[in-house]
Amino acid sequence: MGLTPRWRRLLALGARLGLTLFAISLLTFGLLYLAPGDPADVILGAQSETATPDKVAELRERLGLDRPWPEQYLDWLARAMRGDLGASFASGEPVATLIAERFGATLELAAATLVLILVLSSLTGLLAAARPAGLFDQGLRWLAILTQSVPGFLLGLMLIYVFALTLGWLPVFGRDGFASLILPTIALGLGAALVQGRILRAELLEVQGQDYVRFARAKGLSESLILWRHVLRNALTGILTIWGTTVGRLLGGAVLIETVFAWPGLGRLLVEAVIGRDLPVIQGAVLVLTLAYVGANLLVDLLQGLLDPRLAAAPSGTHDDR
Amino acid sequence: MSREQSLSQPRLEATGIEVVVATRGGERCLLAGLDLRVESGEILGLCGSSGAGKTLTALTLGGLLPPPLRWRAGYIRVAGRLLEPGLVQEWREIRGRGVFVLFQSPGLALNPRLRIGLQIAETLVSAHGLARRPATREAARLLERVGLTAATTRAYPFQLSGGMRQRVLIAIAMGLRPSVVIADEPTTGLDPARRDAILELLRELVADTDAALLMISHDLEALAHLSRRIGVLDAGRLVEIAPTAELFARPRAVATQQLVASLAALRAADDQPVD
Amino acid sequence: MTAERRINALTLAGGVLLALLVTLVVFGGAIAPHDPNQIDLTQRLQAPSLAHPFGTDQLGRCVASRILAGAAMTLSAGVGASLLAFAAGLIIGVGAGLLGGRGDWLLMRLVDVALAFPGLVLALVLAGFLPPSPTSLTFALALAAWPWWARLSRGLAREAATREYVVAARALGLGWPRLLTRYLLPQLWPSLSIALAVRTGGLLAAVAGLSYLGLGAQPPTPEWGRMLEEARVHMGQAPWLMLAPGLALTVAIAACHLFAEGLRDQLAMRRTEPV
Repeated sequence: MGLTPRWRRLLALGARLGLTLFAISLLTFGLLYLAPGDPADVILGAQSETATPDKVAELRERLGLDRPWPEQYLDWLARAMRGDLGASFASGEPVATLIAERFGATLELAAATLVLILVLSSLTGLLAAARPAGLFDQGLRWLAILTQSVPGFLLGLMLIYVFALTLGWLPVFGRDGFASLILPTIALGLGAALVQGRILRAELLEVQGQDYVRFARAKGLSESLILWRHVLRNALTGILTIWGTTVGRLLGGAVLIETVFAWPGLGRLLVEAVIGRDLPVIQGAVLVLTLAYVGANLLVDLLQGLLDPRLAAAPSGTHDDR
Repeated sequence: MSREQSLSQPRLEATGIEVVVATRGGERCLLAGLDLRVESGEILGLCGSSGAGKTLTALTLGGLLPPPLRWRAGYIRVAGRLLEPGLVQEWREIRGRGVFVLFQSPGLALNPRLRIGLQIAETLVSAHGLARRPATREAARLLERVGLTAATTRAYPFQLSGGMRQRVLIAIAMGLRPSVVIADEPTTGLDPARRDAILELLRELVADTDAALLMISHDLEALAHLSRRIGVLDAGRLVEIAPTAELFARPRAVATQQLVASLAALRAADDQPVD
Repeated sequence: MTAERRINALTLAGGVLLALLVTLVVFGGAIAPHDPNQIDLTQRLQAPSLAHPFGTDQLGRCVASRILAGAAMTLSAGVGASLLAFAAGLIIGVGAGLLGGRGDWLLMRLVDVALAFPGLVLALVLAGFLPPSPTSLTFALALAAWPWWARLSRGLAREAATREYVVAARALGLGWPRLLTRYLLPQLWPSLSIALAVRTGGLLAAVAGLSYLGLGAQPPTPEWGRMLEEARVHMGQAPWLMLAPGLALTVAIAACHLFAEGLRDQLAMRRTEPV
C-alpha cells in the first residue's frame, strides 16, 4: 500500500521522460530540415567545392536524403543510439569523437560552478536569514540585483581585464589546471549563486514562521536541532525545485562563457558549429546538452520524491520554475 | 508531590502580563494585566470569543511569542522558576518539560516531512535523554495510549485525520510529562464524538501526570465539562474568573453574560435540558 | 490607504530608467554627437576626451555616438522578443487552460518538450539558421521563450477558472473574453508584470550575448553586444572600449530588475498589511 503511489509516480515520470526523449530526438533530427537550404548544398558549400547538380545528387543519395524522412529518422536514431552521430561537415571527423573530446571540459566547468553556487548561496542565504532586514540582508539584496544585471559574459570580460591582464594573477583564457578554472566559474556562477542565496533566505524565513517550527520549540528541542531537522530540511526541498532550472541556465550560459574564455567545451563547440553551419555537430552538441539538462531535471524530480512524502502519494504535477 | 504542597505553590502563576505589538505608529497593547494561577492537577478553563486574546495568552505563557509581538510587563512563575520579559535562555530550559503548548491546529503543528514516530521520539530524546531506539518504542506505546495503533509511528501527518493528529499532540504531552500544559482550542474542527474523546484524553493526561492544565477555548460547554474554575477573556483583559457553577449561575461581566446566554440559546435550540 | 498608493522608490527608479532608455531608442541616433559610422583611421583607439567621452574604437568611430545609436538595436530586440514571447505564451496558455481537453494536452506536451532544451542553446541554434540580423535574433529568442509563459499562464488560468466568483460570473452568462479582461487579468497583472520585467532583463542579456557571438546585427551597424566583442579584441590597448557598452547594458538590465524588485516589495506589503 505504501509502495503503490510511489511506483505510480515513478511510472508517470518514466512515461513523461520517454515522451520527452522521443520528442527531443525528433526535433534534433528535424534541425536538418529546419536549416535553410538543402543539406547537400550546405556540405558542398562548406567544402568549397563547385556544387554541380551531379555531385549534389550523388551526395543526396549517399546521405540518404532522397528517402522519406521517417525512414531517415529511424536510421539516424539507430545510429545515434550506437553512438554514431555522423561526421562533421567541416573537418570530416566523427561528431561523437569531437563531443567526447569536449565533454570533460564542460563537465568540469559545470561541476565547479555548481559547487560555487551551493557554497555561496548557502552561506549568504543563512547569514541573510539570521537577521532579516539587517545590514547583510540589505547588502545581499543590492548585490544580487547588481550581479543579475551584469550578464555573465560581460562579467567574464571584466574579470579577465582585472585579474588576468592587469594583475596577472590568473590565465587570460584556455584550460590549463585549476587556476584557469577560477575566472570562468565565477563568471558563470556568481549571479546565480546570489539569486539562490536570496531565494534560500526567503524559504528559510517562510519555514521559520511555520507552526511546526514553533511547535518544535514548544516541545523543548534545542535550537540547533530545530534548525537542522525542521527548518533546513523543509527549506531545502523548496530550493530543490529551482536547481533543475539552474542547470539549464548554466548549460546555456556555458555557451557564452566558454567562448569568452576560449574554454574547449561543448558550448564552444556548438557556437563554432552554428557559425560554420556544421549540422551534424550542431545536432550532436544540442542532443548532449539537452540530455544533460533532462538528466538534471530527472535527478531533481527523484530527489524531491525522496524528500517529500506527500509527493509519493500525490500524482506528480508540473513543477513551476521560478 | 502532595496536594498541600502544590496548593501552596501553584504550578503556573502569571501576574500583570502585558503583551504589545509593534506597529508603524508605535506599540499597541493586546493583553493588558492578565493574572491567573493554575494548581497542579487542576484544569483551569479560559474562555473568550474570537480576538479576545486566547492564542496570544497561550503563546505568551508558553514562551513562544513571534517577533512583532512582545511581552512587555509582568512575570510568570512556572514550576518554581521566575520568568520576566526579555529572557531567552531561561525559556529554552523551561519549554517542553516545564511548560508545553498544545497548538490550535495540529495539522500545521506537525512537520509535514517527518514521520510521526520521529516527531514523538525526538521529544523524548531531548526531554528525558532517551536513546533513539527506546524512544521510538516509547513513541509506539504512547500512540497506543491515546487510542492510535503502533504502526502510526511510520505515518506522515498528511495521512492522518484532524482528530488523529490531535491525539498525536496529546501523546507527545504524555511523553513529555510537563509541569504545565497549555491547550489552545484543542477541539477546533472536530465533530462532537471526537471532541469528547479528545477532552477525555486531556482529563487522563492531567490524571496521569498531575500536570496543571490551562485549557483555552471559545467553547464554554467543553470547558464546563472539564474544569472547576473558568476565566473569561475579553479584548485582551481577564474580565472574570470564578468556579464553574458560580460563573453559570451569576455571570458578572458583560462578556460572560453573553457567552452564557448564547450557550443557553444553543441548548434551547437543541431542546436539551440544562443539566 | 496612502501607504498602498505610494509608488515604491525602487519601482520609480526602475521606471525612470526605463523611460530614459525608451528615449534613447527613439532619439539616440539623433542626439549622438558624431556620425556613429564615421570612420577616421587617424583617431584609432583614442582614450576618452571631451570630443569623444567614451573614446574611439579600432576604426576611429566615436564610441558614445555608437552607444546612443546602438540602443535602438539592442533594446528593441530584447524588449521585442520579451513582449512577443509574453503575448504568444499568454494567448496559447490561457487558451489551452480554459479549453482543456485533447488540444490542451497536446499543447502542454509540446511546451514540455520545448522547455526540455536549455533556452539559450535553443535560441542560439534557431538564430544560427536565420540570416544574421536583429530581427532574426528577436524571433529566435521569442521562439525559445514563449513556452515558459504558456506553462505559467495555463496554470494561472486553470486555477482562476475554479474560483467561485469566476464560476458565478460564468453562471450569470459572462463570456470568457470579458471575464478575462475585466476580472482575471487585472488580478494576475502584479505577478505577471514582475515576471515580465525579470524575463525582459534576461532577454536583453541574451540579445547582447548572441550578438557578441556574431549572430545579431552585422558590422558596421552599432550594437552593444557586438561592441563588447570588438572591445575584447582591443582590451590590451584600449580597455575603456568596454566601459560604455558594458555600462549601458548593465543599466538597461538593472532597470528591469529594479522595477521588478519594487513591485515585489509592494506586493509583499499588501499581503502583510494588517487588516
